[in-house]
Amino acid sequence: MRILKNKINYLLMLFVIAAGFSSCVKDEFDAPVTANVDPAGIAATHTIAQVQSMAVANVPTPITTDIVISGVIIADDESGSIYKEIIISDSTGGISIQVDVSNFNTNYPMGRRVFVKCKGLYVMKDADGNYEIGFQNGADIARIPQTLYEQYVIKGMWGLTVTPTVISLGALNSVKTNTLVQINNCEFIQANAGVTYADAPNLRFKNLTIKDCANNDIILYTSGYAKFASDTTPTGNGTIIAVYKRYSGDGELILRNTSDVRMDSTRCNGNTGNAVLMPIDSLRMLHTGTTTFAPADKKIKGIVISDISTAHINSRNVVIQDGTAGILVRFEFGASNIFFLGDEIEVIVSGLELSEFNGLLQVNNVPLANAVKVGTGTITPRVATVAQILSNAEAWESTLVQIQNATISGSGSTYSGSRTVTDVSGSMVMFTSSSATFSAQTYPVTPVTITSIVSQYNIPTPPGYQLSLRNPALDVQ
Amino acid sequence: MSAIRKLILPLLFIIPCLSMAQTATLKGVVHDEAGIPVENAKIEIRPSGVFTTSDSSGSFSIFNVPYGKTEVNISGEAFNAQLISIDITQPEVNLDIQTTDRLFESAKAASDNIPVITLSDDDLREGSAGGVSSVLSASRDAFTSATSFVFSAARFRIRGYEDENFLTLMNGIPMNDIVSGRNLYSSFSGLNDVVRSREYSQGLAPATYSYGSIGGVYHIDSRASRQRKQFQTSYAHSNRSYDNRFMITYGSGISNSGWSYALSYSRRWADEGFVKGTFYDGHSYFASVEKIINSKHSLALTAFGASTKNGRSAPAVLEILDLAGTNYYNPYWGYQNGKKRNANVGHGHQPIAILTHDWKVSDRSSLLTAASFQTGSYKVSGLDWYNAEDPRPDYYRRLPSYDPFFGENPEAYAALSAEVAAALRSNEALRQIQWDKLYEANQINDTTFNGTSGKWAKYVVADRVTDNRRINFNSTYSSIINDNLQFNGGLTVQNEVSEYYKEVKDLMGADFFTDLNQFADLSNSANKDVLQNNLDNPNRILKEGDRYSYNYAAHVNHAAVWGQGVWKYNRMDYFAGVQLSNTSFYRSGKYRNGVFPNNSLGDSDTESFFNYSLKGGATYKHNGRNYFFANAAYLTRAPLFENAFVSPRTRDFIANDLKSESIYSVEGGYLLRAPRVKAKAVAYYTRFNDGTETKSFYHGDFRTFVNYTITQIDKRHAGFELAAEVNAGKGITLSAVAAIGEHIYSDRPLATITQDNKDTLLASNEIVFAKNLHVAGGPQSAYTFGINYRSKKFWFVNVNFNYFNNLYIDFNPSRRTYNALDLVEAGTAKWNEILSQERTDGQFTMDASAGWSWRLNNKFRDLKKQTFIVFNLGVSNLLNNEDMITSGFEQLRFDADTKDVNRFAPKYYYGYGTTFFASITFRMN
Repeated sequence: MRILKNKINYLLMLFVIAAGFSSCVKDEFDAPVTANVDPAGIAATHTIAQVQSMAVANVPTPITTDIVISGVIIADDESGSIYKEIIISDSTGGISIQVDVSNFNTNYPMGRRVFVKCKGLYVMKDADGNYEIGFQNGADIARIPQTLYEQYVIKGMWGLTVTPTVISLGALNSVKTNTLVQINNCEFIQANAGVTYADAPNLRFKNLTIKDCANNDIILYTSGYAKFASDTTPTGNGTIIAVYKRYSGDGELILRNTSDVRMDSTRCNGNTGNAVLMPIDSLRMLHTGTTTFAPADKKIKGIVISDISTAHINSRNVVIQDGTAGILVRFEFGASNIFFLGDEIEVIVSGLELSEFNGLLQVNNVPLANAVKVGTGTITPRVATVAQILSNAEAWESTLVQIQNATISGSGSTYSGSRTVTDVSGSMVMFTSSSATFSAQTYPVTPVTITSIVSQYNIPTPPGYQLSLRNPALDVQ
Repeated sequence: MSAIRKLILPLLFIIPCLSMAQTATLKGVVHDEAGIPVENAKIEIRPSGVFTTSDSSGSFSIFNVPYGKTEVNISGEAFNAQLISIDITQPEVNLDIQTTDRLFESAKAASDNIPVITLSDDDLREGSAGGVSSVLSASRDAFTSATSFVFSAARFRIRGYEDENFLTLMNGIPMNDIVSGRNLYSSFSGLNDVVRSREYSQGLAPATYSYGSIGGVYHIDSRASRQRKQFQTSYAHSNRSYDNRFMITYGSGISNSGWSYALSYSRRWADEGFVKGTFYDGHSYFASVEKIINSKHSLALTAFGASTKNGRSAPAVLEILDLAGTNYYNPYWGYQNGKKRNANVGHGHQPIAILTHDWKVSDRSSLLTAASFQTGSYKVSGLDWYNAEDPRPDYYRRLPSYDPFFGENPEAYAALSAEVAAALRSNEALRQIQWDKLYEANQINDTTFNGTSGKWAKYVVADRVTDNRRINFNSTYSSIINDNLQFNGGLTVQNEVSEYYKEVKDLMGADFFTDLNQFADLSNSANKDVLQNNLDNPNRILKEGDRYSYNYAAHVNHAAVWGQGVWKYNRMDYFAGVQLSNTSFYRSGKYRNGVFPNNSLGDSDTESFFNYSLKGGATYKHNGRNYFFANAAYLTRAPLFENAFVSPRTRDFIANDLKSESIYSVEGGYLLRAPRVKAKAVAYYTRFNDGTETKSFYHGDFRTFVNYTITQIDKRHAGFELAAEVNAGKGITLSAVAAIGEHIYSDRPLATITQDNKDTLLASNEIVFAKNLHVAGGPQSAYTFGINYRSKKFWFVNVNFNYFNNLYIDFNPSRRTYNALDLVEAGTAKWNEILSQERTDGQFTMDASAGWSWRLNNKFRDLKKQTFIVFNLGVSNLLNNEDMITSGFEQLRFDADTKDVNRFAPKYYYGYGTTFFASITFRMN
């Protein structure tokens, strides 16, 4: 009996111990694998074009029947250039699905086919002809909330390639909005070559211009939030693939990523687009007596010493000076100078005309886009006597000089026209255009210090070296 | 007996007679109803407080007991305490004391109700959130018993104090983490059977093994010699944080050669606990061996550990609780291949070995010295992602309350919101983590990064790890200087190194992950360094098991020396104590952070604090029954490492003007210890000044972690603790406990706010208008009334009626600043709404428990050992009150534009509904 009871005790204990160890709490999980197939039981009933035809301008149209459209995602928000819109296209057109989701590319990346269950959504066309689908917010399309969008936009196969449609910038009206396009043989305009895509430090967008060799152009819009915003645009000619939209009556491109841009061939004007800086005196030396043309891929940089605000020279002209010399830059017909006294500007002179206008050397017919402000600076005028100026006039042409202890004299008491500046060494002409703001101002008769630009006008009397005053308030002391 | 002894013994009788009063010797034997001797019973003379313990034959002797009426209290952990009134008139008095078994495993002690939840996603701390772990209920005192079980269901904090203010020692070693200040209850979680021998000093009362702390000190003695000689095994079933518990314990008792050993093993598990998505898997083990070398020396080696893995839950906003249809919504889990998977799994294992040397220097003094070594880690996993859609299911933008039109289009918003609400309400998977979708995102992301091709993970599960190593040394000297004075003193040295880092746990089907700062501010494109967490190893490809994101270590050293004297006289007891300590710490960074390249790698300066404490008190013993006492303490305390550094993950910047906190506390009251009535009425008043705290959270607008460092925190805790326990006769005991407190911030702290992805100050020493706001942390008022019936046939039933009130939601400091109130007119409803602090409704609950013990020897007469089977059943929250908020906090984000306090609504934790705990124990001794 005792033995039996001890055995029972023993067995009881064993049982209890076994019960303790038997149960295990599971911690390993099976990794689910999604098959790369389109979902069963759902298929497109309409093309994107058919749904687009249901849309009217600026009024969201509700879709009340079981319409399903299907397309491949042509752009996602991975680079940040696109925000909260899944752009899909099929062979008939493209549409933007408005979703309130950041980083939707996590599950809805470029190259994935989706099926959109349109029932309950609204479709609308904006004034520019871009189509959107989403919820409704008054007269606008609202974004589908994050919790719901996966129920409307059903995921399909991924890893599909979308072939862009090759278009020509001269024939944009036929291009469908929200589709992927490719433009060949195009380049960023000179002023937009080698600049950043957008303003990243201030999170501001940029509109850059791309043109073809027939001078048709299109805007490239880049958001300040794009990851590539601080990358610089290529300077050559080549291909761009982007999403086509319309904005304010014009075509507009949105870049998905900088890998979609390949522009490293020679530009339309024969340059590579990478202009090299040359000193102004070297440029001047290229003119040996007759009109000549500046070589390819060259630019000059100087500080503006003419004053736009006093209109003392022609509105198409600006005078710049660097450490070596100065020169007059004359912009092309229809363009006016936009640069201020003290601006430091770079001017691409590749292939442009170097000629003399009545003895004054100029770079002629410069496209305004070739000139860009790169900073500010001041030029210290060279202190010289009239005699020194006259003997060095060619070398010192278009630079700033200062004559001390000189008197102004002339047939009239105002600045307008030709006047004489006399110092101990001699005298020379100072000419002020009647269009200058100070032309009617009376000049002082006592000895003064005069700062001015050395200029030339060889009619009627060569050589015709003269001084060009910018603003007596600063120049005549 | 030798001749010398024959001479000495009568002399021993004469010597006491030479003193003024006549004294006697009190002797006796303590045994249970079966006649089996009871060892380690405590026999205490009241009011003098002189006591002794019974030996292995149950015998005891107390000398020099004054003649006259006195009271003797006999207590022990295995039986019910008795208070006997006797009149001593002869030189030798013999007592025969028969004990009645306290039914072990009353539902209170059995259920170790340690909550396994923490307050925020970032909160890695372990251990109880506040107050004392219920495993340690030393239920002699009705108040302590109530606070550790009944009140713990509401997460009540004794006197509103943080856990840092309570000290726990095990076998002479302080069991606290000196980096976070918390007690390491988790180190012995599940080992209920072996931690039964314990002493608790409440509040400022003097303790024998430690200087203590203002809240109280627990000393647990789990050495082998203290373990009962018995074999015990039990199984319990429950529906709280775990469903099943199995325990087995063996104590050998002390052999003739002085050896004793004890072993215990406990296993607790649940596939799913009370809250959906939580699981529990815990193993705890314990071994102790002790050799009593001779009558002076004993040496014990104890080693134990608890390896616990559990799926956690998080508090949530009311909106999603409503959509989910339950207060126990858990955003941390989701379905994967049809099975529930929890993203936030905690795993802790920190085994410890303690060597304890007990030296009876003389028969009046002893020296207890202990040294310990503890190592291990605690990790919490969570989803991590890079450049991906936020996977959190309760992310505020996914909820119907999110208005994308910002109030400008109420009609369109109403339609959209209704559809979102309907979708969330009807589809559970949509309210939880969508694992399948996350795996798919990883699967389709085939790409090349830094020369590696393959699937670049968008989502991973990553562990936030803390590796700890603690070395402690503690030596306590106790000496009975004379009949009235006992001196205790000691030296404590603690060293802790905690290393923190993140580790990739599960690539979720992808081939690699990357060590890049997903919150990097890239607007200044020139500085791409900010993307790097580890500049010396940039763009690193990560595989499972690789460390990344941050890696630093906290080195903390603490040393203290203390002394305390306790004077006991007939009518008055006094004590006075002093402690001097030094705490120093520094941060050792292992990664050069890209945002703070000059302040992250390497060792920081060492911060060092010298602190001191004084305490003292007096007790007036009116007679053996009525005691009046008053105690006071003043101390300074070094700031904690984790509060001193603004953002230790990224840099070594310290809080402004870092200094020690100063605390003073007074308590006083009345105690009644009569045979049938025990009562206490205590008042307390504590002030904390110049505290420092750091909180971090993810801020969606700044897209990075934001850190709040709050300094000059002043708090005032005041209240009453009332308890009464009445033996109404016929086995019925009635008890009533009330803890009524008001714990507030007594002044305006300052807040400095920094962000982790930029070296800028968002706010510096900004005034926080927190004066008179309440300290959060459990109900500030708690009441219980209990009826207990104990039958002579060894069964009992117990019912408790409880009421909790005055629980306040933790406030967001940035909502109480000039900035937040800008443009709001003072005194308006909006002004009050922004400044006020939410108080939850009072809650009523009911608990019941019952137990029965069956002594098998009664039926099976030939069983050699005492054999018992004990049944216990406890039901908590019988009325299924599911509306009891146990804690809540305002989110640390405040929408300064709309000033809408509900835009980032507060999050709440709710107490469990009806839960039960049923156990069956088999014991042989």
